[in-house]
Amino acid sequence: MRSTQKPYDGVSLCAPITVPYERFSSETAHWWAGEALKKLSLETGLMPNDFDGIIFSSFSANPDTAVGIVQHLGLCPKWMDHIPTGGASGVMAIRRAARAVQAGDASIIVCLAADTNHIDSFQKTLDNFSRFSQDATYPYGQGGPNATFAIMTGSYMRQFNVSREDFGKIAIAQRANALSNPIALMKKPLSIKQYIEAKPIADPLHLFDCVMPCAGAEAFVVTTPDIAEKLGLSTVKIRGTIERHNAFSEDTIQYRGGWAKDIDDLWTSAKCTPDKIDFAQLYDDYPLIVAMQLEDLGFCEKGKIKEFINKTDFTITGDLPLNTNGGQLSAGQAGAAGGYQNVTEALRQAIKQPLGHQIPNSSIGLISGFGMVNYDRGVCTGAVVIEADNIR
Amino acid sequence: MTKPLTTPKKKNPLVKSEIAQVLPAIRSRAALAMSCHASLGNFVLQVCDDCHSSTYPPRDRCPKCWGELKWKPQKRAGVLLADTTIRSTNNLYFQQHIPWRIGTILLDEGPTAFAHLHGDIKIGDEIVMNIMLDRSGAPALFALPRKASLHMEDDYQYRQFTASPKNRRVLISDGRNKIGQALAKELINGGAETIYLGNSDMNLLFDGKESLSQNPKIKIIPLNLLNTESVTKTAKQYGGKIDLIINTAYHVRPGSVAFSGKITELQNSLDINVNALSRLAKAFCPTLSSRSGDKERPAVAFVDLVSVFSLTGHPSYASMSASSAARLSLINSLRTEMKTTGLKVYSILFGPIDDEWHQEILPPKISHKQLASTVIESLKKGQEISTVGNVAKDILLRWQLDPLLAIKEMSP
Repeated sequence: MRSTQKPYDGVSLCAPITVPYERFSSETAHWWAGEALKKLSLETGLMPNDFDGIIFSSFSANPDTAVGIVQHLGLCPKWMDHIPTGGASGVMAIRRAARAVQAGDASIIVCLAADTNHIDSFQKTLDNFSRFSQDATYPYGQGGPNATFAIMTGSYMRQFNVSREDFGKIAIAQRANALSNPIALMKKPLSIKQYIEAKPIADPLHLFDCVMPCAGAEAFVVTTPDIAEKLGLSTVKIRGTIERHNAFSEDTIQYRGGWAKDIDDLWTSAKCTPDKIDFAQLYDDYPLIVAMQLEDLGFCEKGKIKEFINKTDFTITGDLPLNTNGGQLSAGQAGAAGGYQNVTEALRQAIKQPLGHQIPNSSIGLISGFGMVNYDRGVCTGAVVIEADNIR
Repeated sequence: MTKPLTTPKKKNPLVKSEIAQVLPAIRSRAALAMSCHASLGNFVLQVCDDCHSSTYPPRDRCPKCWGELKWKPQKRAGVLLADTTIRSTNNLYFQQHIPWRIGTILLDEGPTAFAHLHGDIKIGDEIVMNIMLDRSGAPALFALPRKASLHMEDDYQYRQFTASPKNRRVLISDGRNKIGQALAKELINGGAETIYLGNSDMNLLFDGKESLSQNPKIKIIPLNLLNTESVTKTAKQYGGKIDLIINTAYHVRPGSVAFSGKITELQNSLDINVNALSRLAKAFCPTLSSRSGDKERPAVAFVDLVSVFSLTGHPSYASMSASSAARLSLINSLRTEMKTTGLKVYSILFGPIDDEWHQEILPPKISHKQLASTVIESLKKGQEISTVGNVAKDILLRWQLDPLLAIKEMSP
């Protein structure tokens, strides 16, 4: 029962918006969502009634979901979706919105993620994250996903002979990338010594293995090439996508994600191979997850990550520019917006409107998402191969 | 190997005690059901009615075939696959206890699970899995080493889930009766530091007083459980240095409801079995609760000894059974009340004792020593509800299966 993915003809991604993050905010998720729409409106000229579709993602808009946001912000869409999958939500938003536009169910869809970070909202998110985490993770000392990822990281390091220095190289490259991004929360260079000697969090994780929760919002528009042209917007095409949930549940400890199941489909439908990729925006809540994606998406064989990390330059001018805005590790993790920032940064690099430095060759990019550590592993995965289309 | 506990330091009265923190108590209904099995010391997992596979974390339907799930006793065996030592956390309870070590256990029955780890376990080691109850009464998986070592119970993390008498200062509410005296001896054997033995009238002699007062670890103190003023006064004087309370008050007289037995016996029985518990709890629990987070000398538990006939009634011991039922109800309420304070409440359900007051009942009966040993074992294992003797075990089992039938089956 395997179907071949139909191409994404007649779909354009455009107008990436990032509202500069703040470590803590007294505003609400609704305010941040409105700020993103305001910026989007200034950029495109589109007003509330112009959007006929919306996708919304957030952890801190409770008790509201997409419909609450629609009414709160005065939209009147004929198509709506709520995607509550955190780090996988941006990739999933692209897939859903693209098909809706293709089918004519909607023509201008805003994909919107917004989260605030009150002093206590991280704690509230943890308290109510999932039933499995309430029963079987949270009471085990964690107060967050750190310990789950620590267990996974330690196990992976032993299994594949990876060292902290290897993971450090990813964190340090992303920090170097962040230095040109004026709105990244981390503004100082990171040395391997600082990385290794940072405050221990949960063995073997230290401070710079972990993202910093913050407030922020991200948005982009999915529409047709014609409408984008009328609006004068630069566009990006979708070449292929994958999505998978709860893959490899038989693995006792996670060392691979759903991408590994669908990797051939991705590159077949994208008519592309990993070596043709100019840049990659991979979900990066911890360096381990970046390493896992590099393997599972086909940049290197499983178990060969140590060599791959050591021979690859992940900085903006390197051979595989990775998380060119600094990623969440250096720019901050704004809740569910963390699952959209990889999309907006990829779009910006493709249409040559980066926040920081421009990648020299940025035609074909890979976006990958990873979300929802419900219990002992991340459950949702997805990836999109994009290509620059019309630059206006 | 676990290092044996050393004697806790004397508390500096100028240093503020740490506030008692408890673990987050939000749990699913399925997890709550798991805690009921845990309170009896059983290790259970949910097993599917249809495909017989076991699952964890608690679910409401089988993830393999969507069949109905039932909690069933399972093999405790497993192996530690990976671990981490948590050194930084947002959780206030664990902030008091870091570094804290947890790991992923692959259970022989199939599922993997996060568990708190005993310090002697290394990656790759075989373990024995337990479901403990944390300070808020929620179920917590705890992995112990397959091979017990000499001071295994002294492990810091394990001790957060037990109320082992070692190094504790214990109050026995009624030291004049034989239960209290047997308990004092067993607690000292179990490593208790000091036993405060309640004596309702310091001027009246009682059997066994002489040998007890010769033991330097036993201090006989005035405590008249029938007098609120006496209980309050003793709580003021000693509450700050008691870590564990064991309520041994027990009034038993044979007698039925209609043909034998006097109403005054029922009144006496209620006063000793019920009101005394209430006086003790009101006087001591607030003080003990405030010290349940103390790092060196936390107050840990309130233990109540209650007749198993509290569950079913006993036609020939109607007053004792009725007051025991009220006592059990009070204890259940107290347990829930103490959830947020970190103080654990233990119930020891005992069968007929082999003494002059239980002559009407056929054997098997239990000795005072047997009762005392069960209390110590329960505290060491952190088991909230225990039975003493075959009668108690049998009645609890019948009652769990069908409470109404268990009542019908009681004969004089």
